[in-house]
Amino acid sequence: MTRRLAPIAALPHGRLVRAREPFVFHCNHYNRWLQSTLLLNPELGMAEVIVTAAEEVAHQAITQSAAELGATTPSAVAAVAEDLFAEHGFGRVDLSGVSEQGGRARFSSSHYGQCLVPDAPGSFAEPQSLFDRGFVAAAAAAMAGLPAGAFEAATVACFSVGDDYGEVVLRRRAVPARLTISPGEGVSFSEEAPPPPFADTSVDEASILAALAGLSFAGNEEGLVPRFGVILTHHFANFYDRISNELVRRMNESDMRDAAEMLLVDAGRRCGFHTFGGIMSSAEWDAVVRPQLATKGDWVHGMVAVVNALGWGVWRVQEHSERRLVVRIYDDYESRGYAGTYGKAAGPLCYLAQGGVESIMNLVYLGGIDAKPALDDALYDAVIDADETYRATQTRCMAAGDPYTEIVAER
Amino acid sequence: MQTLEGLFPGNSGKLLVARIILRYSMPELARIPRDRALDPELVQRLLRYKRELSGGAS
Repeated sequence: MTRRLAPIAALPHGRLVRAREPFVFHCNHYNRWLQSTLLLNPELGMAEVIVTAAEEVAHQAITQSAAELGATTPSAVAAVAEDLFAEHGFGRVDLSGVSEQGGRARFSSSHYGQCLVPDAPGSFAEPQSLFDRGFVAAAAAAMAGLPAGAFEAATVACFSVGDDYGEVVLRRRAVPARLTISPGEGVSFSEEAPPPPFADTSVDEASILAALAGLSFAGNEEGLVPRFGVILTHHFANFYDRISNELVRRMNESDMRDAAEMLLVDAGRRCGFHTFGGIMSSAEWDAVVRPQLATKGDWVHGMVAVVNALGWGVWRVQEHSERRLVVRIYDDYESRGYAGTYGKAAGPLCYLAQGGVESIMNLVYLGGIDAKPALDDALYDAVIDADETYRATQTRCMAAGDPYTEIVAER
Repeated sequence: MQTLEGLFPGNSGKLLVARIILRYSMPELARIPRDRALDPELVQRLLRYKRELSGGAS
């Protein structure tokens, strides 16, 4: 299995950038809960926002990758797009049926089609592969040398509604739709360098990061990344930022911002519960991190060390006790993406980070993660409903002009 | 007497209320104290919404 890919750059502060787009690791649980929140009310029109957000970032990544790799013909650009899709864990797509006038893109596997677990056995009522739809619209435009927005895309088959493949029909627009331009690497308002990792722990972050760097997180033959008991994607940071911030913007206009923000934090909390929980229950954790852990507190430091391999910025524990955890995040992707798109923020907006920090404490001190419990809905509800549950607040935000983002989780 | 806390207990219940607020465009729910008695008609609506949204996704 050989894929032609533009190189991925490991930039300062743990940022991972390919073809000018920053990438972050996220799991199927986060993708499911984030998307289900966005799609709660069809009248909000968020399905179309998801599609166009995917189209914006994918067009940037495909055209830039093609330029870096010298791919100039439509078939060569299609191959670049197919490889990018598979490498990052989105699935397998065949673009051979797409021409400059449109055509059909067919999926033999799909993260969004197959890995967003529905609530009950069976299928979703609506196709979940909105990201796929935007991606292939972008690919068609890139293949034809056209701007993003040049193609209309419609899903005609999707695994999530019971089909055994996915298919998107593409049709060239007479006039391209005007889309937002991806902010690329985003903007940082701070030059402040992160301090070294927390000293009072037996955890050696450098050795953990070195060990993780030796693992492959590339999509397998199906273009999927099953790891740590979840299905990962190495996803576009700007995609997450755009869809989350757009929901908040629309909710702000209708007096429902608090509820939207609560649910975005919950998506992050579920991400932490499943991904961090899966990591702390994994063979890789047992081999690399667990031998370094002497106390429960070390589990917190070990997990924070691993987070620093996810492309989320640099997480540093500022203060830690069984009652309280303060994490400062340097160059967090939520702030960078917001600032790159909208400029300086009026207040905190790092929903994923809040849920993530909270989850670490809940897993370590309430969830009994050292005993490798089943990470199911019953445990999730028990942990967040416990009297002693931890709740996170964001006390600083880089997008609002602070030198770092700060999250405080306490019981 | 039914209250929001009784119908939607705990933090998981608060999250379900947030989903109802978004799904059914009911920002007024966020302003109702969780221990206040609810109108019976509202209770019936909330119970129906709870059934529809329990579990979270889709």
